[in-house]
Amino acid sequence: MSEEALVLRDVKKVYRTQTEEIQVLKGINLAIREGELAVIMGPSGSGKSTLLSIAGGLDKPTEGRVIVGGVDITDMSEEELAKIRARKIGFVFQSFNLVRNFTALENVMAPLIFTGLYTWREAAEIAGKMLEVVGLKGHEHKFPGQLSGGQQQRVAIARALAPGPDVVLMDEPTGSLDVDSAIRVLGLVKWLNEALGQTIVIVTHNPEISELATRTFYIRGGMIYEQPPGQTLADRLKELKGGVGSGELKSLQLSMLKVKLEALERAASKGLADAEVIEAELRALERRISRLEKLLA
Amino acid sequence: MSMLKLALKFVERDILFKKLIAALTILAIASGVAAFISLRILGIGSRTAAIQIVEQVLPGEVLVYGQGIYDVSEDVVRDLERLPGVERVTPAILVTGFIGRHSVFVLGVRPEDLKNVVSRYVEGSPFTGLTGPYAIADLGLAEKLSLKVGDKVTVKPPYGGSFKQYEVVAIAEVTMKIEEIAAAGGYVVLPLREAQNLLGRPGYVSMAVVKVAEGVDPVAMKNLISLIYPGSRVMLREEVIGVVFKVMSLIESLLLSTTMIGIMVAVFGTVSTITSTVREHQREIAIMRANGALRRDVALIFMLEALVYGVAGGLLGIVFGIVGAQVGINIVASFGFLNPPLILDVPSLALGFFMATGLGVLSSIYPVWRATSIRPVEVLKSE
Repeated sequence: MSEEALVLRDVKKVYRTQTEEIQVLKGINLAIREGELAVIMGPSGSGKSTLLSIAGGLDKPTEGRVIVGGVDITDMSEEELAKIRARKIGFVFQSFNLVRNFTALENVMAPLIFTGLYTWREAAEIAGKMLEVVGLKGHEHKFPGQLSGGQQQRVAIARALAPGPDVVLMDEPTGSLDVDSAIRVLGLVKWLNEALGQTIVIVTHNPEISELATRTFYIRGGMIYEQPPGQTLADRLKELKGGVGSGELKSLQLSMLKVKLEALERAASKGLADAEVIEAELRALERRISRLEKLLA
Repeated sequence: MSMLKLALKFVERDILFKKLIAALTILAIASGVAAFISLRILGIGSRTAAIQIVEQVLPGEVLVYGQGIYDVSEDVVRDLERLPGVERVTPAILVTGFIGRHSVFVLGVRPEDLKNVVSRYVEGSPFTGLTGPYAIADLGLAEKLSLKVGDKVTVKPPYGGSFKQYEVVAIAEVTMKIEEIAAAGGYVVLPLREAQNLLGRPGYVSMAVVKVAEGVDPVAMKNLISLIYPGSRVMLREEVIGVVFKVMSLIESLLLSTTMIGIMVAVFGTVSTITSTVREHQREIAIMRANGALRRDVALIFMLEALVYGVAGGLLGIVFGIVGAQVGINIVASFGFLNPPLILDVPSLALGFFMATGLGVLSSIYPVWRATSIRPVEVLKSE
């Protein structure tokens, strides 16, 4: 079984207008392994966001296949994709995109509730822990308007991580932040990747962010190219930490993944989701749990 | 269940964040429902009062009319009294007439039948004979013409140039109020013979009200009288009530159609509020969809919001409706026509409430369809 969290196989995307066809992606092949922090860079209009939306199941490719956590999502219906996004894909956007009517805790709980797998209490417990992980303990009941930009982005990161997704996709995560907040958020992202082994894909035009990456890709003219990552920023961020220690975080992540495993098994036994999809998800989850257990041992 | 709780949180904050718009939407629904409930309660009260009056005024179950205004012979009245199953026959004259330039109802009855026509004597005492230049003035008429006991009134029949003067012996509350709705003035009650003489039709009355004996079917009596007097018009008391109800229903329908305009305004108000809510939260809907919310989850949130408006508007509408009905009853009672009771008809209240909630949810269909049509990819496009 593949240990790739995200695979894009010969993905093409064509936008058709009345007068012309614009080929934005011209056959993208990309494989992100579990635990990687990949940065995809490119200038404006290069197709970064299109690539991200296709990888995240928000849009469909004109051609090619998209596989997330071992599940081929290419031909899924919109509602099936929504279920997959809830369980397997986390998003972090440039503009934070929190729901104004929800508190920080409820914003993090929302994707868990959308999965239909968790009770209110389970979701609240996981969301509370995730907010603690991103250093926002004590801010649970604040509304987005009562938080700073950096804090809002950390809530968004907690929200993306809460369902224990196979991959977190970030679109210019520091684009709306001041320099200090941006450094803190990037530090958190790097730390979460290292401590949790969370697969993260960042799309950006900021070359500094590529220095965090385990792998860096460049997208230009609808094609993608890989280049080795730099080290400077990652080294600078090493001293920045989140709300809890690394070992403790691994244990926390392990317990949360086990809760998700139980919830998925519950869903499978009740026939709440497609058996084949659930089976693939269970295998991916068991693999992640086993990796974390080895690290803790 | 968790999704419902999450949706409720969203709706609760949304309503709290935009208090004025929410309050106006709820008020729009409440006013539509209140108008509907007020009219229903007033209608039910009026019908109840009408039944009571018709039953009180008509001292029998079967009414016999002639083809003209006053051409039921007293011989017929006597024959009717002899029919098997008849307990009592009350002859009466009821025509329009004039006191000066004022239009009035002239009611001619026997002294023994006054108790069926008059509920209370405010001043003076009733006449006791079949003849004599005496009259009882209705309270409304007395107030209008400033009549007192002992005053003289000149009564003219609807046709011809004859007239006669009568002494007012009593001021009374006449219970025969249904007909009064159509009368421009009020009532003047005369002894039966005096009324016949005034009209130039001695020996004839307008109607004979037949009271059937215990255990006798009024329908069978109606059929029997129709058979014996084929030229007569025979009606059951229920049919009289039915005619009254038909008129009332017509008035109610006209008023309810006006109410429907109010309800339509409430529906448009709700559609507009939910549509603006959806537009306002367009980006957040896309975020929730990106985070895995299904179409039905999004629909639940906005339908729930519409439902909250509907429920709140419905409950408030019931309160306003009852208050409105009481005001309406007071106004109707002040006219002196009817004194409808305030009957809190549960089906009407429930209908008003469910209409509000149902319309609330129906109003949300278009905006909810728009909300669920928002594609999650929009969230990235708007970045």
